[in-house]
Amino acid sequence: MPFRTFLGFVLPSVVAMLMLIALPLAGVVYLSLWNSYTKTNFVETTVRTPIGTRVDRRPVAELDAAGNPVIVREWYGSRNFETVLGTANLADAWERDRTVAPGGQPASAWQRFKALFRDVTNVKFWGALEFTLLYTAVTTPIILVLGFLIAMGVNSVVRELKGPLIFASLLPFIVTPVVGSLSIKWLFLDNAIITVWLEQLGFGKIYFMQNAFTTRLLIILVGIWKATPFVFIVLYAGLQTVPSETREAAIIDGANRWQTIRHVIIPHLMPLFVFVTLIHLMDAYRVFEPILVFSGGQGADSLQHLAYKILSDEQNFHKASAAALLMVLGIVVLLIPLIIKTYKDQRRAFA
Amino acid sequence: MFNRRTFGLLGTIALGTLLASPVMAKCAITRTGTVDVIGNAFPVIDHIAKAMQACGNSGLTVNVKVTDKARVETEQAFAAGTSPFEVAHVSNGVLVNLLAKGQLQPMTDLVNKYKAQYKLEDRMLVTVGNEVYGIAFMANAQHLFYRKDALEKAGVQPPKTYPELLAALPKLKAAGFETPFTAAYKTGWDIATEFTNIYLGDGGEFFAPGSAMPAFNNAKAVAALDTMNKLKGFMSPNALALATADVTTAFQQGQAAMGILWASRAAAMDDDKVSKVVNQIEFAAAPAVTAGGKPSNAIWWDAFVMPKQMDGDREAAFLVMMEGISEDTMKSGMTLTNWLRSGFQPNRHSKGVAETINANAAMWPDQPYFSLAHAALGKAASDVLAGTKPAAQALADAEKEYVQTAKERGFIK
Repeated sequence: MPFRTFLGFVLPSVVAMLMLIALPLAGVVYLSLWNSYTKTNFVETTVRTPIGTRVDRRPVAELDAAGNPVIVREWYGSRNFETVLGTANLADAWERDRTVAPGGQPASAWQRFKALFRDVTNVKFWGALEFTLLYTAVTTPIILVLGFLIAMGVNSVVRELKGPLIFASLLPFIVTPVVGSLSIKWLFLDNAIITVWLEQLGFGKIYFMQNAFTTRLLIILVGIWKATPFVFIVLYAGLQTVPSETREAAIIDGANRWQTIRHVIIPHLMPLFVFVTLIHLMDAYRVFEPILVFSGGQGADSLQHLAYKILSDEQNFHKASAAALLMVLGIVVLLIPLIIKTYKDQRRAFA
Repeated sequence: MFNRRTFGLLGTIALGTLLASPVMAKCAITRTGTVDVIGNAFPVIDHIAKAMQACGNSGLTVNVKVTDKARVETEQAFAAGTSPFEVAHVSNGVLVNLLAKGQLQPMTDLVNKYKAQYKLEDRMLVTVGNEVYGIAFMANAQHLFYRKDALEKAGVQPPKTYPELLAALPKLKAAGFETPFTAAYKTGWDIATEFTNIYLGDGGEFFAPGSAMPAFNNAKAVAALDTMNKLKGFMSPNALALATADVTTAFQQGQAAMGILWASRAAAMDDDKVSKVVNQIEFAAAPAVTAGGKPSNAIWWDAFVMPKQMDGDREAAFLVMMEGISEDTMKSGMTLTNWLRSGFQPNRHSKGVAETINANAAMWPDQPYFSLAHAALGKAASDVLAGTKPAAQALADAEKEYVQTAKERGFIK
């Protein structure tokens, strides 16, 4: 292929990637290295409000000659990253003496590890990282299996049933995430539909948001409910491409249903399994809405939620940028094995 | 499937819905352009939004965004080079933050020009020095909601103090309320606000006078957390997930006998479309921490403001705001909130706020660094109530966290 033609094909997407990915990323890196705030001075001020007048010393924005607030910009270097990572608290947690168990006897290695783990995850970032990883690790295999089972099921029902079944399976995928999580909260609160059903079925009154364990379970269940349709639709499409010759040959060779699945269908769908795993790893790592709605960060927090809290509670774009970058770094680490595999496959394909 | 007829039909239905919505008083703004408004989601704001939208005509477009994330969105919009909103509904808590950042636009000239036409009253004007920065229209507070019938049945008087409240709860539980108490204890903003109420009621101070240095790590804060922990024992085990809307539902569904909730939700208790307890809920000031003390809640007010950095016609924006809080808007939504206009007729829903104001309750802390302390306390209070940290450690952590963030925002050198 002549270089010009190659450029003609590649350039548009390179430009789009530069503008939509590289540039914003560079902006976030830049922001994360600085700190800025509106310069204020404590001034005696009279404020009149509907419930009275207050005269006191309070911060008032300093204005420049043009009447605009003066913004102070400070070079922070790695300081925002250190704050987000909680390096000082982490050092404290590491150095704490744990040789004596609460009962007074010497602590076992396991007790010491548990205490250390608790102290480390008490530092916000590491607590959020812990649940983010747990969520990713638990949901990924479950949605792969469930999505595959549903795809196989839908594929084998009669034609007339396929449409409605596909529609029903895709429903959770279509519901907008926050609306989805909000309405789901109303299914699981006290005396909500699902809680009442479970009670009638003899499970007793379950309070899904009562402690860290139940909250985590609920968030993971909702995650599975939301992500399975995606796996299903991709694998279902893949199933339509399984060559019937191979399948028939397997049957003639005496393979039973399980052997056909194991040796014909799964190998055929392998690239799609890799694809959905890749996408879900990235999605799961960004878990946000269920945290916002169910836990608010208590018992289960996520890196995305942490960055959101920094931005919304503190209005600190710089620290939030640092948190976002640390999160992106985590995704990259998580994806390395899959990226290497894809790279190898690509090389083999073009060799 | 969707042919032209279907679209035609949908269009007719949409138009029908528009025309069928309650007809607002005629809005006659002759200015042109676009006015974008943002407001927090609660009943009276929906009502105001309709009045503002009624000003839209061929030359003037009025968009009103009502969202429960308005607090976060407004602060970011006003910090932008040009704010996407020309008018914002804010509580006093947000107004002081915007003010300290120099992001509010003085409206003194417009107020003077239109004061008579829109009957603006002096108490509605939020002024700093000689400039008007906000037009307040309603007062709000979190106060006691209680089921009159349930309290009578259990032989309990409406509590005046938290010890009385805590003594009454076991009786209500015995009377059949599995979770007699409710309040918004959701981790973060909600639980921090409940903490603030009880701590303020005990005379607690958050900062050293005239500075941003913290002063909330003390015995009163520990006591407030202890009271909250005791109350949690009578709440749904889901307590730390309950936001304002969930508390509203708990009352409407008859699950709670007493609780602390925003005055702006009082009218929703008597909405027979969603409430099973119409006319059974009564309202009073929040309980005091000790007998004879001030109610443990704070008075809030809500106002409309304009950003310093905006394009578009500021006069049009101001007029849309005026129509939204006009006397007519108040008259057609009298029971929705505690209007600040003198024509407001108090009703049973406004009793809680009236009692709070008469008892001279504390003002919500209005230092611009308070929201940073509030955020740190939201995590601390939740950790204590979840049992993951003792109160002393949680408060020390919150103090450390607050000092760090206040330094970053330039309030502590």
